[in-house]
Amino acid sequence: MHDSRIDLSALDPARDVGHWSQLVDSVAARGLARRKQQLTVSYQMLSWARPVLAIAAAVTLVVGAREWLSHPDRSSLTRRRVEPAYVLATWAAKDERPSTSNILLVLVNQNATE
Amino acid sequence: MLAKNITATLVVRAQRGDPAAFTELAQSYLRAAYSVALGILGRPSDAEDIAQDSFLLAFERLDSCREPEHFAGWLLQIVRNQARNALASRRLRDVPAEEETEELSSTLPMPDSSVRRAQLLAALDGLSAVRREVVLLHDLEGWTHTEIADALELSEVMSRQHLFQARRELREQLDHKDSEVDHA
Repeated sequence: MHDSRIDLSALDPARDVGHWSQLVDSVAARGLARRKQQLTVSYQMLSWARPVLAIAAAVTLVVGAREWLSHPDRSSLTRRRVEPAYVLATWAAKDERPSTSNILLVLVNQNATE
Repeated sequence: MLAKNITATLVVRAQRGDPAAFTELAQSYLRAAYSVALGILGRPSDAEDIAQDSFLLAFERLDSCREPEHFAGWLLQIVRNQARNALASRRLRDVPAEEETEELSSTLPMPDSSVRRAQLLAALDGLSAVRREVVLLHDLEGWTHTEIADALELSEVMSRQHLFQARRELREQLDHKDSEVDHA
């Protein structure tokens, strides 16, 4: 059986030692820089903000739904749909970016209810 | 290739931002990343770019490497995905690697090492993806069958079979090329 190693050294990227070690150093340095950026407090806060908002929104929705189901006067539902807290929670849960007109609508409704 | 426990320690250290760990991981696995990318893309310059990009992506997503002792397999999967994406976009906008190789060989006098490299790349192109990876990791990177099996999620027996077939097919291709050169 003829199964000896095939000489693939012509494909060896490290044959140009200088170029290859430069490449390795560059990858390590850039990788480290990105990692250090990830470890900063502001980055951590940003990366946590989205899931925390989503969880908060989900909790708000669950609590709101439970309250609504247990409340005898369900006619308040329609009014509640435009309440700022409800609308904000819905946007956060759906990861939506509200338009300016939507924001204005919520503010107007808020003023109206007050 | 580093032992699994050493790799795992390096990954944990890198997750904490230890500079030496990044260098050691790059020194130990960048070549393997290059080999896998070369197996898919067939062009050394493209393979170098993808190996770098994949490594940076892996460093960025280091927290999602749930099993640090299996870093090699995890990294090579990223390389494979990146290389396949690059290949797909290259096919849309570019000439195939073989055409470029043929064009080069017909217009420029190439040094022996470049001729050999072009022959090897053409021969590798005839292999299946998994055989290319196995033969490159074994015969170029010097990985053992245990290491290849672990990184490629194969059995060791399959790794040996792929290597045997890959070598056989490569030899046939290379002998064919050599006889073409002799006749010319």
